[in-house]
Amino acid sequence: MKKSAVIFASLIMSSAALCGCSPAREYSQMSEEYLYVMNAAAELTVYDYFEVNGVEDKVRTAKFQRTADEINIMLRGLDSALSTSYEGSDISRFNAAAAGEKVQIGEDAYNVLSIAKTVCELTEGYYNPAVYYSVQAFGFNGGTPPGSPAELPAEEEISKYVELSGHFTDLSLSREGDKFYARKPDFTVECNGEQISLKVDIGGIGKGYAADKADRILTENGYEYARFNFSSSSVVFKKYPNDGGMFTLGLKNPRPEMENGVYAGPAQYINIPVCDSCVSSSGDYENYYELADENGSVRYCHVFDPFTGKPIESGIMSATVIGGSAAENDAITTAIMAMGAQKAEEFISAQLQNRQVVFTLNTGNGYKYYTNIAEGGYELVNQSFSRL
Amino acid sequence: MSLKKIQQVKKDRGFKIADLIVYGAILLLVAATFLAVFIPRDNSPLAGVRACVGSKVLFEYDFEKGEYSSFSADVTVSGGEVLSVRIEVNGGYNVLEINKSKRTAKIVEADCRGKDCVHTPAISDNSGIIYCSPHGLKIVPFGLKEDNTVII
Repeated sequence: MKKSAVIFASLIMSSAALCGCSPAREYSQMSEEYLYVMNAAAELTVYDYFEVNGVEDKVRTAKFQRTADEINIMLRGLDSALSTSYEGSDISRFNAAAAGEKVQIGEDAYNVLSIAKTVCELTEGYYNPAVYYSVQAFGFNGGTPPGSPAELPAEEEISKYVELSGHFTDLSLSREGDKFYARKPDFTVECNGEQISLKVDIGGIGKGYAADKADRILTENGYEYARFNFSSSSVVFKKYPNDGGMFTLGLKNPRPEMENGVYAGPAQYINIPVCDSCVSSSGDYENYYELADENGSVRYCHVFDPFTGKPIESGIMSATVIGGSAAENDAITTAIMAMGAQKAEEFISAQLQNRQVVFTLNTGNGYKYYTNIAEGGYELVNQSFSRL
Repeated sequence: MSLKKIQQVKKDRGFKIADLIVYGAILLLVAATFLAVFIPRDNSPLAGVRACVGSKVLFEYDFEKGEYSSFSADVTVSGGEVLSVRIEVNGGYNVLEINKSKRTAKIVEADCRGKDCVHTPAISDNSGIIYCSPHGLKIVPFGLKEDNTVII
């Protein structure tokens, strides 16, 4: 009796182990890569029965193609509305307008500027898309990077830009019927002999906004099992067909160890199971240059502190927010990186209880990570990171 | 029940040594089955690699046949024992190096930001992957199993 009980229990354990994690459904996968939009590549992956017994299901394939085309058209539309390099875009026309001028814009530009204002207020100004001039002066987003510390913009010039960007909250948005308007703050500063008015760069929010729209298109087309990865900056996770529906989100090690010019060890420092979530991430490793001074090499990255008008020096190397809207998360990760560790922790505790947040910190003596995810809700892959 | 039988049952151990061996073997079998099914890494020699953008294959090299196939005018192949494959993609380029004798594939040059793909170790078995996120280019082994991991 005892033997048979033990054998029975073993068989049950074995079956449970195998069946519990086995694929619920056998999907074939199909993906499409999109051309550059907002200077980035976007990848859509949908899981569906595209093939049955080796025969292509043309109806499902055609539906996927229509969905992909819809997303592609949406991305291109956003690019022509939000780009700062395309002169005819809503944002470029707004930037070119005089101080105090009211500019008619499209619905997407209106929505993105609304989100930008909301997050600017939520983060007490740590997210501010009006750092346009500083970003250009330090050689990002079309500017020319300085070749030496002597070529960095002067403090006086930067302080003018900070004064100007501080008026972002004075930007007003209005809607009249089906028309949308943005009025520029009636404020200018004199810099290098000319009067300049406020300009915005919403690159820090545009990809997330696009991801949110892709999420809606996937839902409207009935896709439950899918993901949309916009340049690894904003990702929409629906469900994965296996593993209980969960994807594994790996967050890139911001300071990977190198051996003979290649990464040593895994690319990510942490794994987090996710599904049905929008994720956005920012890192100082994505776009940066280094200049040598008397103290050694200094990293200048594309994430700016609106209060200094300079690339962040907070020690935060990367930030990721899971849950909620990707557009908001895109802006929030930028703000967290500018806040610094202590302020960021306070902000996350007070404002982001319903989202999962992770950030990494270079303390000067080692690397730490902060997260509001409970122990057991993630897997630390790189043990050289310790928890804050 | 006789008194003798009761005493025998009382003396009897919960598990005899032979029983424990059988139970241990069963547990090992369960563990081995679990590991065989769920360890996805495939360390068998690299059979071949594909360079893809989404589901579109641009180039592939078959180590078994020692042959390559190019499916795009944007792919330029040169070299002999070490093939140099230049792929123009999404406004940039990546150079894939195929070492026939070592059975490895590695991106050695690219004009993308960050150059993650260049720093990614060579693919040497059927479990590796190289991804150039800015260009949307993936280098994958022939036998790569579906993976649910997304690294950002």
